[in-house]
Amino acid sequence: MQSNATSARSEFVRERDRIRKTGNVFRGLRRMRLTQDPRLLYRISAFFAADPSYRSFVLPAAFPKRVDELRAHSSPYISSYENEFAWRAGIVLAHAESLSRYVRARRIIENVFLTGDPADVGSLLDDIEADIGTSLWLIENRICFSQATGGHSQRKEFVDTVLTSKAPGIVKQLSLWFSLRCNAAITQTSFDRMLSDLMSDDFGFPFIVNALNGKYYDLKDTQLAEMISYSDNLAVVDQYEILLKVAQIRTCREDHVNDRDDITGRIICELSQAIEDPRLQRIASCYGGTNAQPVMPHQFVDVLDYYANGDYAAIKDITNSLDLNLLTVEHISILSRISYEPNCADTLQILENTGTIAESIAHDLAHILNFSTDALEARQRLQKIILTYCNFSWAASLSLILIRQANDERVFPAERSQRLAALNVLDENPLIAFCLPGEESCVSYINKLRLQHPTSHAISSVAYIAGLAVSDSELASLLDERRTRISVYKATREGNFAESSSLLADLLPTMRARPTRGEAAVQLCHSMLREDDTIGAAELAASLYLESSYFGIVLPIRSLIDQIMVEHNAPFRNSKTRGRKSIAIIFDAYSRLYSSDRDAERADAYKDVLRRDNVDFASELVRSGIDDDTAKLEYFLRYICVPDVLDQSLALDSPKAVEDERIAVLISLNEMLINSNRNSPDELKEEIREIQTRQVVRETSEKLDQSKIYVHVESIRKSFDIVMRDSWNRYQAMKAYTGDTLIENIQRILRTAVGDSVTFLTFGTPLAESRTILTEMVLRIRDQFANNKEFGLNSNLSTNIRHGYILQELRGPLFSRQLVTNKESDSGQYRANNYWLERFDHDEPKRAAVSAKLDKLSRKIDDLIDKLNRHTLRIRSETCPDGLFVYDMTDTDIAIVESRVDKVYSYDDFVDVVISYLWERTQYCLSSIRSTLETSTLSEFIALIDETDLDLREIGVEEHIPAIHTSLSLVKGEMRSAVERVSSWFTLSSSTEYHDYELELAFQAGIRTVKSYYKNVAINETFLKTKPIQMKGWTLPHLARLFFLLFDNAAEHGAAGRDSLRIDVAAESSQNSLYLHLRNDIGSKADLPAVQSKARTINSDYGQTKSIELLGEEGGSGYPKIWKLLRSDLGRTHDLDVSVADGNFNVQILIDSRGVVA
Amino acid sequence: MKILIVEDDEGKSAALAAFIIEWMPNAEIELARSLTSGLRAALRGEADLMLLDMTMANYDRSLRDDRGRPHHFAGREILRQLQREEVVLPTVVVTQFGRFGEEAEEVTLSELQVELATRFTNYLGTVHYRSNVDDWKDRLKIILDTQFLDGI
Repeated sequence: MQSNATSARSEFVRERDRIRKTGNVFRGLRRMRLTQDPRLLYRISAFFAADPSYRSFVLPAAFPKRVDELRAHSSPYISSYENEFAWRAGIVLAHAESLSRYVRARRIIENVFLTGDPADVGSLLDDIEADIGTSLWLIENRICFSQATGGHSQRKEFVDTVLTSKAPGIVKQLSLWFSLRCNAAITQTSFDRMLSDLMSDDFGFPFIVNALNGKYYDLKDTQLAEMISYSDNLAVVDQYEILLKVAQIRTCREDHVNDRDDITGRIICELSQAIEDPRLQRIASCYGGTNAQPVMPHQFVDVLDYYANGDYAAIKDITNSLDLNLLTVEHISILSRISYEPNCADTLQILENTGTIAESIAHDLAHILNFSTDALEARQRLQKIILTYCNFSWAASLSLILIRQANDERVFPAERSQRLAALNVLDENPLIAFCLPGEESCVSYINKLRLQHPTSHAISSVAYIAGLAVSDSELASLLDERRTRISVYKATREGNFAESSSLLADLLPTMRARPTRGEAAVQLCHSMLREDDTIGAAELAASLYLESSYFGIVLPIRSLIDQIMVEHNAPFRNSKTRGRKSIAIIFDAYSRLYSSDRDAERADAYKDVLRRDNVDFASELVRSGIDDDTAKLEYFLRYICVPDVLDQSLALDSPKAVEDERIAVLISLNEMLINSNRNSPDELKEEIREIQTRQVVRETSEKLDQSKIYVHVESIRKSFDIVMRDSWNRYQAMKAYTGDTLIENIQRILRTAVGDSVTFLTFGTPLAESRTILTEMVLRIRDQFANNKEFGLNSNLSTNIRHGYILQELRGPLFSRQLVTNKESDSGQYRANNYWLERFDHDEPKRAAVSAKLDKLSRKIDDLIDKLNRHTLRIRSETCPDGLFVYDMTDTDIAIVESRVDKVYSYDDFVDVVISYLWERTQYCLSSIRSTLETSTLSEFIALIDETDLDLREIGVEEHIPAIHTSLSLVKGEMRSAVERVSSWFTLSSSTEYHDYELELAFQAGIRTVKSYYKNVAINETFLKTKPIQMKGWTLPHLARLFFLLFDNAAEHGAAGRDSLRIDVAAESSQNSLYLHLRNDIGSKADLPAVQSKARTINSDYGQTKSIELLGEEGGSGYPKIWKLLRSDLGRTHDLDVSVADGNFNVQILIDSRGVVA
Repeated sequence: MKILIVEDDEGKSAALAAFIIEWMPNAEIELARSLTSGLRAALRGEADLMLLDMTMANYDRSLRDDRGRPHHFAGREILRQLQREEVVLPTVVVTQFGRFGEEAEEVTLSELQVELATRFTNYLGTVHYRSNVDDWKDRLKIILDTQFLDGI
């Protein structure tokens, strides 16, 4: 040994001299690491690390007292894997003693985290820091400690101290990752996704981040070399851990383990003798290191043996005699397995109310090992624990237990994750043998355990499963069931699936204990699959899944799906699988637990079930009485016959039909449950109620859409009543003069003879005067009908159609597909369409060209909508000559009215005649508007879209943003629908009667419309009421529009520049008043002073003359429209107040509710 | 000859119908405007040829109901169902798009063509349609002539 050390020293001196001669220490060192033999590097690296002249280059801070002692940058030159590994191993070996102390402390600390009071960890961490300094490992543990003792705020506080220190970037970044893992909102899946994204940068740092956060990619040797090299500037403890992880990753590959000359194996064998770490020893054992001995405590071996014998009382005795901190995860898992057995309810008592992680683990393991219905959530909690403590050895033990349920290493080759976990655990366990790479490692591990515990039949059982020679006497004390189970393991392991299936099929009905029964059933499913018994496997898997959805996680669902797919498209008449409910259930389980990529096949399976039972609708299945498996039918109806599946039925031809069928399914399911004397879950009734509410809201919205054109006739009558009655009386008096008839006859004869070219001079005859009076009256009524500021058609058009509705409806499809943008309120310029433009960040000319074309589209679309609002959908007048509501009154019109008026005698009938004539004119106008919208307006929209498509093709954007052409194409159909919807508003409703309703219906109708217009904004709404508020039917259109106007304001202003909006409405009805309080958030970036100023303006202008003048105009906040709705349409006195507080915009309305509340 | 056009864009279906009348004046044309109505018509097994759009909604457009879910691969789904139910219906896919689907599901037109040709016996070929360019007609004519007129 002395001579070896002397030799190594002289080799170091020789290499040091060589470096000195180069005159550049840094370059010389790198050159040596790049070119020298790895065995030499292994021998001399520690000398360089210890040499005062080289220490600062090689290992400036082996055990740093502060993180800022660590070097900021590592070397950019990376040599071969062998050289990097050897160099680092040499340095690690030189610190073996300190590292052994570190491993011992680490074990104690991990155990305290598991079974003790986390508060005790603090002093332990202080002690170890005083001994070996700071490190990433220490920071990670302090993060876990601060989370466990002080929660999020304390963890953040600690991480902030690292981030604000002068620690190297690698330490800060890793601290953030460690902290992120502890965040309660981060799941294993989301964390894995983030880690995976990091791997797109293919260099050493991401490999380290992944490995230190529990993700071990199968890296190439060059990448492993980078990992080692990038840890150059870390403390020795971290260098050791990273070296160990590199060795573990490499050991997973069997070809390396079998290579006895592999440098990893030889060096690890040496290190394992110097550093007391079971993880090193296990790797050494895989490489044939004969000295490495797994040490398994006797009490744990006893627990395993008693479990195999079924002596659970003895297990409890052993457990109760132990110190809590000696409990291991494997031991806890045995306690959890038996906790559901008779007389074992107190098995977990030792952990009860300890508040330890071990207690949580024990309870959750009890759920998953017993396949309980709560096991899915329990598994997620356990996975979160594994994620948070992913570098703790007991987390590796826990991980092995979870993975084992789906892939039992006793019978199937261990997955890579199982191998890595097995290499990471500190506590020995016989089943680790099956996870070690290579048959030799497995046998060697078991034999070493047998030598230590020759009388253990639990270990003998493992030896038997592994195919080693075991005498009958060694297994004699096993329970019969266990003996059969190990025969099954052995048969399956040897590929004899027929035998294992047969044994399990006989055994299963006799099994009592849920853990073993569940495991046996899962294993039987595996064996059936291996025997190509698809139907048997599917039926068994479906039954288990119905028993507990947790089986969906541990059954081989993916393999089963693959096997089902072999027959899935075979002709129905020949298929043994098509039409089975179990197949549909398996597809559904797959969809819920794994992926949506087989949802089409799930719909096929649904249709096949109906076909097999010869029905068109699932709701008929119960009545058909064909089914003999109620549980499967119940699941099929409840979970598979859902809208997303039903909409693939060719018997259902609309979303409404799908909803109706879903209701029918739920009703028949409900009846089925009641008929079998079972309670129907409340969820069924709740779902029916939700669908029906949705339908009522939709139907109400449709009806409201059809009743946008109206005039408040009664109010108009009142507006001209007194003056008009007098005129009517005068008119009647003049009509009584009979001479009129004669002159009229002369006029008619002359007109017939010579046409309209003849002119009549009236000379103030009674005839002419009565006509004049009539004309005046008709024109007065017409003017009020069309233009009364509060009640006339124009103001209703403005409130019900032009304000918001038209713009949102027609812009909506384009906006949802990100094809148009809004204007900046200050500059009036269109906002940059970053959704598409960000793809041109490196091509400014093209970006500018695309931006110009998209701006042009936004502008032209808005111009077109503006034209509709300002010129087309208007009452025709001198100022609005293109308006399509035309109420010109020619002589002919007057004559027609007159001929009808002649037949009535009362004033009221006269007004009815005129109003009726105006409605006839309106009908004609509406027809003309619909025609205009559906032809020329639609064509203009389509032409604009086509023009933009062509413009963009000319620029050549297809390569960068092909999806924009897809969007432009798809939006045309959507625009067609939007224009048709708008066109449908221009009808006179055949029914304006509404039943009394709950106020929430008006709220829902309003929110539905706003959501359809603001598809890019996630609107979350609530409606709070102290009790149901029943409203009079006639108020529904007005209150639905009131809510729409309020929500439209909230969405337009409150959600500007954001993609989410929160709207809360509270309603309260008291004796004579209805109080509404709307609150919406306005986002943190809102210009608060501007919003407050706006609120003051709204309050001061509300209901004032200036504001009422604007009723027929569009734009602005919409509050004049709200005033009109409440004051004129609803006819109620009311108060309105808007305010800004706590980041919310508030609108409070107090309405005199007499006559409106039912 | 009965020809089924499954297409939700009214402008495009009118252009296809006009082309068919020119190609085969006596052809009887049936129109369907969505995945479900297209599939229903195709499964009846009465048509001799189908011109099939790829991206469609679940249901036909109507004022009362929305159109249900959009399907990026509605045409492929119709071909899959026809194959599953052993319905023989020569089909030409006519699409305006160069790419289909989103994110991980996204495929180019040429990738989709390979998939359709590999999986479906009814598939005759694909025509890339552009409303303002007429070369799609030549491509469609070649496919149809080859399938239906070569033997005459």
